[in-house]
Amino acid sequence: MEREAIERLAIDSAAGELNQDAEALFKTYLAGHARAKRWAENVRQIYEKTEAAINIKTTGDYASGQTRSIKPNQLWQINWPRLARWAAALMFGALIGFSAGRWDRSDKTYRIVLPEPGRARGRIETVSDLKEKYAGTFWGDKMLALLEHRPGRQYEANLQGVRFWDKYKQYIKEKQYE
Amino acid sequence: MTGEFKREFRNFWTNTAGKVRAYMFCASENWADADDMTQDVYLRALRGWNQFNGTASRQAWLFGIAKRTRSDFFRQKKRESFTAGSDSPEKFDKVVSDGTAVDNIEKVWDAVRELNDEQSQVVHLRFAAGLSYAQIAQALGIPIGTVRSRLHRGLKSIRENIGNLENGT
Repeated sequence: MEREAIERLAIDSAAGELNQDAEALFKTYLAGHARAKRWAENVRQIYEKTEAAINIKTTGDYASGQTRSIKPNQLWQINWPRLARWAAALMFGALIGFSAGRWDRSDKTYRIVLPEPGRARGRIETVSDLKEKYAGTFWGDKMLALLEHRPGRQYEANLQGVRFWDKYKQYIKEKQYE
Repeated sequence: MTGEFKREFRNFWTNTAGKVRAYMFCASENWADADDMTQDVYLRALRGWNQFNGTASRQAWLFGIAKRTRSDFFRQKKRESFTAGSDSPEKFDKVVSDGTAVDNIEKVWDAVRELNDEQSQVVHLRFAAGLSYAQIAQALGIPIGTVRSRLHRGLKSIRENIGNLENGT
């Protein structure tokens, strides 16, 4: 057998992963092959040293399977101080909200002013009245355009930088309303 | 959570916690980190207790969680050390008083530390957690043959790292 195969079998043997028959066969083979036995011994030694080193490093510090800082109970125990802190925070928030609501509606009074029954109504001005008064001025035209639900006149200053097609559309729109 | 389940989980904990903690310590070399990771493993196990499908053993399932927890922990640690500057791993106290034995243990431990991630996973699960080949295969989600060859390669690397033991040096 090759060294690689011997070493693999030796590791399996050290790990207890060989069945009884295979173990017996392997031992018989090693008994008849001194060189193979030396290889197997060597790898078994490494296996045991590694096992010992890891065991010493990892088991020297605790006993009986329990860890130092945590216990299984801690996983489902209720954390009362934490719960109390949350409850206090919620109650404080509720208190603030309640107080704010009370303060907001404390002494506000609303006064409703009703029209006096005997008061004469003034004349309501129509759009044509307004036209007479305000047409021709800049803001007057704007206001009349708003009242008549049509776009106001665009002045040249506002049309700077506007494309020809937009200008044409605006012109058509204005024409429609006139 | 029923009393019966609590008892079952406590038994499971008692039987496995030491192994999980040892497995975590192998990677972190720091008991505080090992404890944090162990606690995290059991919290995850508790949350996913009913998701266990029974194809592997409970212990192998737990070590599958442990492996993921370990990877997450070190990913997080790496990110933190990248931003805050890396710390060298905490050096542990010597547990054996005999000078030669300590030297040998330290040598072997250093050699184990040099293994790549795949090999060290198998070596730690075998020696620190005491899992069988089948359980390691289930925990890592790899075939038994791969476990065998990784362990073999790992031990070979350890041998190379600690020197030529064939000649007794």
